[in-house]
Amino acid sequence: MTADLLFYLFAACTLVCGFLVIANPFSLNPVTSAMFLVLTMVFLAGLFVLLHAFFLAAIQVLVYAGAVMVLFLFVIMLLDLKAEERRRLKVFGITTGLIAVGAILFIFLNTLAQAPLGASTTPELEGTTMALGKLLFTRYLLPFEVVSVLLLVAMIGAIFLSKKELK
Amino acid sequence: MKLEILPWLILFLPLVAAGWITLFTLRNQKLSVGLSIGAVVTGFVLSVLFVAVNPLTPAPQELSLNWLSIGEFQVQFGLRLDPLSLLMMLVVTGVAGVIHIYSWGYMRGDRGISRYFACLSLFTFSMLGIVLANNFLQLFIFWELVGVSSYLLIGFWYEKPAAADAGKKAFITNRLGDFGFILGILTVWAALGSLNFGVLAEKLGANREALGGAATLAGLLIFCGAVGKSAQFPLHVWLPDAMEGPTPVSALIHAATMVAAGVYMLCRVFFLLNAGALEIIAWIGGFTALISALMAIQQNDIKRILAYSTLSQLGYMVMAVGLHGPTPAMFHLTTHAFFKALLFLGAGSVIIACHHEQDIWKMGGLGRKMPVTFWTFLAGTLALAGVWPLSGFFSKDAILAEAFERHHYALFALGVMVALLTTFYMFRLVFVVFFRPARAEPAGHAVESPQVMLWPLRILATLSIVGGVISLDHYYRLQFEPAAVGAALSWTAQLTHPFAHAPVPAAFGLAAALAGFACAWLLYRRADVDPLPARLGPVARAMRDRFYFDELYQATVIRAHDFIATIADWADRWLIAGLVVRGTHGTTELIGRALRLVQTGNLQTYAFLFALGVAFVLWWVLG
Amino acid sequence: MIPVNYLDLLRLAAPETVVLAGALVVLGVDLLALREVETGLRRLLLLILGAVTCGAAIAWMAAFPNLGNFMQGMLVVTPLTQWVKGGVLALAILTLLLSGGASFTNHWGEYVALLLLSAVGLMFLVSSESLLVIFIALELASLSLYILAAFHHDAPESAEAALKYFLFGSVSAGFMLFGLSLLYGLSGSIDLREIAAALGGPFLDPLLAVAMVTVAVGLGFKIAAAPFHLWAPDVYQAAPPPSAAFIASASKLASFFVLAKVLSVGMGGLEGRAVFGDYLPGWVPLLAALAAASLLWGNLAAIVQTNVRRLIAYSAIAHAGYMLLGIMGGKAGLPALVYYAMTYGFTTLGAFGVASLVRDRVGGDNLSDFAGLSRREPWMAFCMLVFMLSLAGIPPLAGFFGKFYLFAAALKTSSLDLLWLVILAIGMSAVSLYYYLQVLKQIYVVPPPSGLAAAPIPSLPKTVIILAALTVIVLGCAPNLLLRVLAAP
Repeated sequence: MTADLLFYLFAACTLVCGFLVIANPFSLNPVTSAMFLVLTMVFLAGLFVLLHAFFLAAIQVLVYAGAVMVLFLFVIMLLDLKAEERRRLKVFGITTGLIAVGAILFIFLNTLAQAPLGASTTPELEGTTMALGKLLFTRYLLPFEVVSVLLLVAMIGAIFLSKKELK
Repeated sequence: MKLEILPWLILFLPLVAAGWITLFTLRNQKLSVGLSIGAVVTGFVLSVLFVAVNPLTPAPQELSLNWLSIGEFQVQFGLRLDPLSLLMMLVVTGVAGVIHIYSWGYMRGDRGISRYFACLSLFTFSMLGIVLANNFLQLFIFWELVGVSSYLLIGFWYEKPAAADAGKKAFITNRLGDFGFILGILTVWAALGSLNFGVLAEKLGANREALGGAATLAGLLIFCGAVGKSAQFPLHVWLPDAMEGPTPVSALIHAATMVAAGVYMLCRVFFLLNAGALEIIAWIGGFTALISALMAIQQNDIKRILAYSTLSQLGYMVMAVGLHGPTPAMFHLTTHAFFKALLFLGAGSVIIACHHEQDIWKMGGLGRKMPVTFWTFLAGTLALAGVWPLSGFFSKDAILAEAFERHHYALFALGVMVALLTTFYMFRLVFVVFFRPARAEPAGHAVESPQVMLWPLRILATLSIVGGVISLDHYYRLQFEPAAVGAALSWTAQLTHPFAHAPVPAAFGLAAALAGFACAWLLYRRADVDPLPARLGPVARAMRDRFYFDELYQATVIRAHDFIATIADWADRWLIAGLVVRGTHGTTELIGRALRLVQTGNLQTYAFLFALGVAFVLWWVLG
Repeated sequence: MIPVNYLDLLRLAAPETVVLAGALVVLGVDLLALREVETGLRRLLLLILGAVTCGAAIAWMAAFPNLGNFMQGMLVVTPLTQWVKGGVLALAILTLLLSGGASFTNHWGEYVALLLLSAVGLMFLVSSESLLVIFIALELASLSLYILAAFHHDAPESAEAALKYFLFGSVSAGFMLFGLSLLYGLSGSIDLREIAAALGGPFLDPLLAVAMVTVAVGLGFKIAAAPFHLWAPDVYQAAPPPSAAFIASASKLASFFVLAKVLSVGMGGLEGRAVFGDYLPGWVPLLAALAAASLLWGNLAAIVQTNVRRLIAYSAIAHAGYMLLGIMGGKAGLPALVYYAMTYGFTTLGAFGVASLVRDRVGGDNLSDFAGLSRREPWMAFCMLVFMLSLAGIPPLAGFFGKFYLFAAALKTSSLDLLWLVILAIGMSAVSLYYYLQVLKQIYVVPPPSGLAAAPIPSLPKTVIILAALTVIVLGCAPNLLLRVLAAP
């Protein structure tokens, strides 16, 4: 029961913060957005905890809310984003966005109302570091390795695209 | 079967020639011409040899290689050898050979003569492929290949924009017909599980109802192919425009062989067509024959007159097929190949002599200056008009007799009417071009063409004269009515056979020819300007303007086409990009400022449409 | 502890490993040994190194055809996947060699490495039946392709197109992930076969329908099916031509294959029915709707295009419509689909090659820039003729045969239910001839602009284009060469 309540709390907070990252009616300052992103990450970590995935929760906070966000803030400070603050929210963008999201949301909710949600058995939750490590090097070895290649690509791309003209 | 290698050789020789010319001898004109002519003439000699060694019998023979076999999808690359295909092979190689030789004279000095001969050889190969194919898929492949080579040849003088447009029009119109054709082929395959003509005939022979309710539909869909290729109403508009190509091409492709492929195909798959489909086929053929004969009356371009005449005669053949008479249809197809090729080559000779003038009212008095051309052209005209004892009489009479015997009096009357009109417009042409003094400068200095062009005329003239009495119909009957066929008649017996067998149609046919000639004699014997427009007024104008079919299509089909396309493009270009001020591309201020792009309306609109798409698809699937 | 045979994994993933190692070697060699080498030579060496790597992977697959299934569908290698991977690699080789004369960048090491890495992603995509690996491989391939699309350093359109591609890719990846999570939630497995077993029955749970649609959205984006095609025209037009060619060919081949796999393996039994005006929910009506939209939108919008690459993009959308028919053809349609996608890949790659040569020479790839190509470059003009006619489906080129077989399979499998769609497809292919002929008209009929200096065109791209044209002709005349092996049980 407590877990359910917490789930709804965390999920709602994640959504609200996520929304405020991209469209904050009170502030157009990118730093505010970045801060809300931190909050989003933190609440996500809460969701991981509820799933007994303690390792992931910790990583989520350490890497995303910590390291990645620091980088974000650096970039924001380095770039001249004055124009960003002066920008008005466009009626067109908001209307179309609301229509589109509303339509999809409506359909999803409608579906959810119709769907026969069977009582699924709660899977065994085990999110300890050791279990995770074992799985990563046995069953999920292949995806794990492919992700490493993915990161390599991301790195090459980041370097290539950000450098002005490299030799 | 003896000498089985020969049909393969005959089929592939022109392809080898075409390939060789394209790859190696484009610069050596003499060698290219020699290769191309050599290939097709050798093909003709080998065809004669093959038929001489293997006498025509009703039993079909097949030579095939396994081309495709994937599970139950089996298609062979095969040759079907029966009287129909063998005779057609002789006709194609023979007529093509003669026209190749003629082209050598006609195209002399043209820069692209090597390319021309390569295309011509490619065409001959494709046409032989249609003739010899033993299954639908192979037939369709060659069917499209003749379309491509005809596209290349019509657009041969591609410095002329009209020629290029005509090529395109021909290609696209044919595609419209093929749309139905391939659907028909797919329907037949889905229903009967085979594409091989022999197998299909067997299955349908065993059970007439094997196609079930789809029978009429399948028949008509397949007929669509013939409507496109044989230029039947309503897709007839491409053929007259195709006259922009070189004249020998008109003779070979747009008179003697390719356009006849539609009729040939209908005869080949005659077993598939049921009575319902045949009735419609007959009426479309008859209607085409009539309107194009009417249009021919008021044309002034020598090649266009012949083009409309071709349309009209093709309508005749299609009508014959629709009247359950593949034998007369093929008979007329063969004789028509002789005399229409002759007429076109004659017209080519006249055109060259008049320095590429094609308006008949700027010619005149050519009879005396070009005797060989004149006499051979006259032979062709008489044959086309159906004058006894020339070939056209016998084949046309066979069609009329078929209509008469089936008690299809409406189509019979229509056929007689067309015969009258045919004689009329042909003699109009002959009187205006060959009699009276020259009406324009070039015609005054005309001289006879070189021998290399005259010999083909002589050969074709001979064939046009005797084509009716060399037992052609007998051999075709071997194919279609093997049970009813007797011994071949002697040529003298054949001469009188129509009068003995069916005197009424023969009499009507001759009377129509006579009446047509009389009208032409009265109106055009002394004419220097066309008297008809003054007498008929708007009717004559409608005929000259081809009953406004082109305009109609321009106004409806093509406009609608363009309109829809513009809308679709507008949707993508402006709905997406233009709801906000920007065009499709970023402006220069955005260089390197990728972040800014996220805010542009462009991307927002894209995202909006994307999300709407998702919502729509969700709604569609969830119902 | 789950026992894992690591050697087994290495054996199954050897081709991918070879290409990956090749990519790393390319990066290393470029960094360590080629810094001071003159650009032209450096480009040549790196491209050849990349091509050799792909060739080695193909040779490896031919020499050691290891088949098997690693860890419940994580990596499934069958003869068919080997062939599709071979196709991806062959297209990668051609793309690499096509870049031989290009000058859109100086960073050839990164370019070749990214191309190889995206090929690795596509190969994993082809040979996995696990939702997890499929998603990660898709991301790997996509991410590399986004960067490849942005490779034109001094063209802002290239960056803009890549950004559009990236943002759309992310959105559709989000949808796809949502769908995959629903699938996992409904079935409790990430293996396609287990999912099919768990879902069973012809009854379509609404949640499952949502999962199906969102997965189809994710992959529909990759194959550029309408209405998820919006990125394609911009990317095809603005990305460097070889990148665009690779996106249009190899990426499409692999994405179609994986879409077919997810639907027919993972959702076998949920086909539904799509008779015109009367349908039973399932993925066949879903695909039928996408196919119809793509056919109409792609072909009609292509008619008014004035830029050849944009025209090819719209025609690519239309071709996605044809290929969707192959997926609906079920088991019989799969070889047809792969044949079509492969030959289409060669055709469109060649067409992009010609467009790229024209662009380098004339400075643009609008229709009018192709004027008189036949007089300047008769061979390239002829190759373009082959490509355009093949795309229009004129026999005996591969495009015709592919279409015919595709339609035949769809009709036979659906027992004529899909006749309406086949009619639409054939009708639209008749329409398509119109705009393909526009290109040919420019090439063959319109006289070339005067004052164009004659410059020799680089021989490497020329060879590739001629090779592609030859493939299209040969596979069209003898489709059995390829189909026999694709349809082998």
